[in-house]
Amino acid sequence: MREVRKDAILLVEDNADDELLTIRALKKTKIANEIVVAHDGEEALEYLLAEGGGNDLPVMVLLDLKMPKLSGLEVLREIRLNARTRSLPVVVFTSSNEEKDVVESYSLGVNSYVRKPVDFSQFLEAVERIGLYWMVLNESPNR
Amino acid sequence: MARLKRVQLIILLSVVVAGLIVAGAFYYTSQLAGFVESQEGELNIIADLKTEQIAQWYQNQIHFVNHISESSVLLQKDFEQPGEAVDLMIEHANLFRGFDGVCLYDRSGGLIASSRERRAWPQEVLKAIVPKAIERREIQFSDLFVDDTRPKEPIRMVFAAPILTEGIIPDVLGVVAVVIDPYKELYPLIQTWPLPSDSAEILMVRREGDEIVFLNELRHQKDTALKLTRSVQQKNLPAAWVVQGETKVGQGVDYRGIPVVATGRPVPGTSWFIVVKTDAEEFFQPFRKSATRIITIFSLLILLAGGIAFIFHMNNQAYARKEEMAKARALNEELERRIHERTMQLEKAVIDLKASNKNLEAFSYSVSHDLRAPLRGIDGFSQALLEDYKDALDEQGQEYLNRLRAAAQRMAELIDDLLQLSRVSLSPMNFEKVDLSKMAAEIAAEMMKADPEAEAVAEIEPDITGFGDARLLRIVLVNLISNAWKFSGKSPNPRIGFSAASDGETQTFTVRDNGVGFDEKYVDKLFQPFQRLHSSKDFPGTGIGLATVDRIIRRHGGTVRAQSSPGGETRFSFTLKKGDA
Repeated sequence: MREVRKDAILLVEDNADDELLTIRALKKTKIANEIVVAHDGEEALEYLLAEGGGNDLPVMVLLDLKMPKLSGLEVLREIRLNARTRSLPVVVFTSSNEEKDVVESYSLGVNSYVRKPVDFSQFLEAVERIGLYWMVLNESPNR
Repeated sequence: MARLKRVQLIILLSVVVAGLIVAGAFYYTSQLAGFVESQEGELNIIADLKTEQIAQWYQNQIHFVNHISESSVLLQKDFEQPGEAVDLMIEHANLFRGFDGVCLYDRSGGLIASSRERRAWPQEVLKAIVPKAIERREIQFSDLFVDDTRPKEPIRMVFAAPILTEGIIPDVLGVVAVVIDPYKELYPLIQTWPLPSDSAEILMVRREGDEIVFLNELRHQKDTALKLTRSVQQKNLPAAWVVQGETKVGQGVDYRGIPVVATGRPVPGTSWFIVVKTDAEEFFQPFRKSATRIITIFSLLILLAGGIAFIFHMNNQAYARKEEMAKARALNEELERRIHERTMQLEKAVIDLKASNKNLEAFSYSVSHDLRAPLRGIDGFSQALLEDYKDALDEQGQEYLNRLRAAAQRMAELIDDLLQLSRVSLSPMNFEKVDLSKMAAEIAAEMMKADPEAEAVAEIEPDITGFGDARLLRIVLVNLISNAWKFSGKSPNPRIGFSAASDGETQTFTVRDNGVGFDEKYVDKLFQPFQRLHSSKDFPGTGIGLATVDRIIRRHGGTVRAQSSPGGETRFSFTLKKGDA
């Protein structure tokens, strides 16, 4: 994993297509933050909770739910259990709109839950709104 | 123990009892016959004995009289000086117990001498009998008669024997008349029964024309000798059949009117008949004991048979009860086993169902998540091509990419609708009072917001509430209202409405529109998944919405109906049961 700048967005996504589309969408918006990609839950936690705090915390985590090894919900639980990452903004960005996923995500302390639309135009709009909200409007204790 | 059916038991018992009765009757009869035979034998023996004794006695009297008449003490001279001879004669006669007196007559019938003074003799009888003896020159017998000169024990009999001279043609010298007192010897002889008995009696009769005359004093009735008479015609009187020559033992009724068993004999050489009888009661008395014994034994045997049958019966019943109980127990066990089996099956089914539900949930999750991702890829990269390589594509190429995107999006819709359809069948129901008016208004507002250019007017009746699962009812209303919205979209003045009507326990809710409607002949297809009555080009949709509505309403125990006339009003109605709320 390469060295990353501050203000990065951590994209946790195992699907390469979605990764590409998300990055494309983010780039199409005015958000210029660096995008760090973790390809599964384990990788995400390694990045966030590395010994000695080698990495700065990202400004936000875009978290997919269905992933090999550790699922998004497990990653979310770890983030919320760890003092360093407890207040990190986490947005679940997933294909699922299962009620239990939504409910569980919120009970684990997710900041937002957005379903990925199939229509790329809507997808783009969704990513743009997320970016604008969390990068621009939202005040985070981590800043 | 072998099991007998009730009918068999009854038949068997009847046969045994009947057999016992027949055997008992046969035994009784044969015992009785044997007894009667031996008793009759006794009577016959006594009758024979008595007859012989009396006949003998009679002969003895004749011998006695003859002896006197023939005695040498009576000679010619005696008739001239009879005193001494008569004394001797009397002395002689006194040796006989039955002797009462003796008279001596001369050859002309004149009384010469007697053992008592003159007036003490039955003169009439003597006057009749003495000349006969002289005339016939043989002994004459008066039979029993009543001697009026005697106040007590007046019965007497007289023998008159001629006294003949010796020689070829004897001459009559005189007549000896001997008076016999029957009380002394004859009557006791008659009346003596050789065995001790309470009722047995021997009596002597003679026949006088159609009358039977009783000759002796009877055991059971006094003052009868030569006074008591009965008719010969009295068939059941033993004396009657005896004087007519019948000597068999028979049952009859005696002079007292009491049943007796009797027999009789004529006494040879006399006009007398002996009747030997004993009261039937005493006659059968010895048998009564054995009869009682026989009856008791056979009754006991019958009782025993009945008892055995009863035990059999009880045993049968107990056996039947036992069998029934065993059956019932077996049935119970079988039932329990089946209940257990069924319970296990149900538990397994529940587990299977839970598992399959879980599988279905997992499947739904996978579908929603995994099927959508590739579609997003297709759509996203098509868009990327359109954006980044627009110049490299001609119009047709761009059109194809747009079609690609539309197809992917449609597929995404299909997936979502399918998921919803499967979820409405699986999700748990939470019944409550739901404000359907408010819900319909919200949905209509969303529609308007999504399609601000639409001119549709929504007429929603206020305060409609229904009882059901709010989340599922929302899906129903969304589908129906969006359909109404969609199909009235091309009308000049699109109008949709929501209203309710109540009928007893049921409420009917109707969503109506003035859209294109449908041909009612295809109404059955409306609620089948993937069935569409309009082209997706004119009215986009997956064809799953009404199937979902139908499934939700059926889960609520209601029904869905659709009515339409093309170009007129289209109504979709569903019913819900009124809740307790």
